Amino acid sequence: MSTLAIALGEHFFWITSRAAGVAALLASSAAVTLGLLMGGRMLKGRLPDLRVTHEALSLATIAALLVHALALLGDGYLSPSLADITIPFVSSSARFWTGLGIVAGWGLIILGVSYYARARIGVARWRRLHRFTALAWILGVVHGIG
Amino acid sequence: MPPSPPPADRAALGREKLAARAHRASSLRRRVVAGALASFALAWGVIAFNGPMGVTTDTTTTASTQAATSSTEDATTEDSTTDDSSAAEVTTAQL
Repeated sequence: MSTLAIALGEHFFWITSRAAGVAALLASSAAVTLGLLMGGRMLKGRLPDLRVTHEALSLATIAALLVHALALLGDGYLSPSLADITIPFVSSSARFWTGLGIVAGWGLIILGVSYYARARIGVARWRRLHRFTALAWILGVVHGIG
Repeated sequence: MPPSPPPADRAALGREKLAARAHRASSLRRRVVAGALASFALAWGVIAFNGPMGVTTDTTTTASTQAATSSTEDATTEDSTTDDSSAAEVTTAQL
């Protein structure tokens, strides 16, 4: 109980950020796996249902990523600036791993949101671009391990 | 070949199918959101329980307890050369 009480105090934002990172990693893993299975025609379900699930998982990933980054702004120990959490390799704390996470985060957000602009981008070009989501996800996993 | 339904029925059938698809989609979205929130809450609880920097709380406590014990033992050993009353004082002060 005392651990939880301490957690609710000074470490609240840090724990929230880490938990959101875990949630983002799980949601993105599920979204990427589903996307790859759909792309490889390896799932014999209803395609519209699979697409809805894939989209919902991607949006959940983006929401979790935003919480993961923005919660850090409230952490009193690291007290990072907005630049530290948005520009890769600027943060003084664990520069390489944080930078890798920022690149992965931007990649997942931009490639995810680009779905809604695929008519403007061109469906074939968007499809090619969308494959890089797996790379961004791998960077995210490496960031998580680091 | 079965006879095709009249246009009015076909429209109603189409509307029903669309409604069923929308209902299914909304249910899937709700499930994904619930799963994401549950994983977030679970991760929050686990991290808070283990300590924010990983499983360090128990180790730190054990290490500090061991350090206190060993320093007490050292003090007692050092003071064993002197008379018993001063050894008792040091041990009590460190406790």
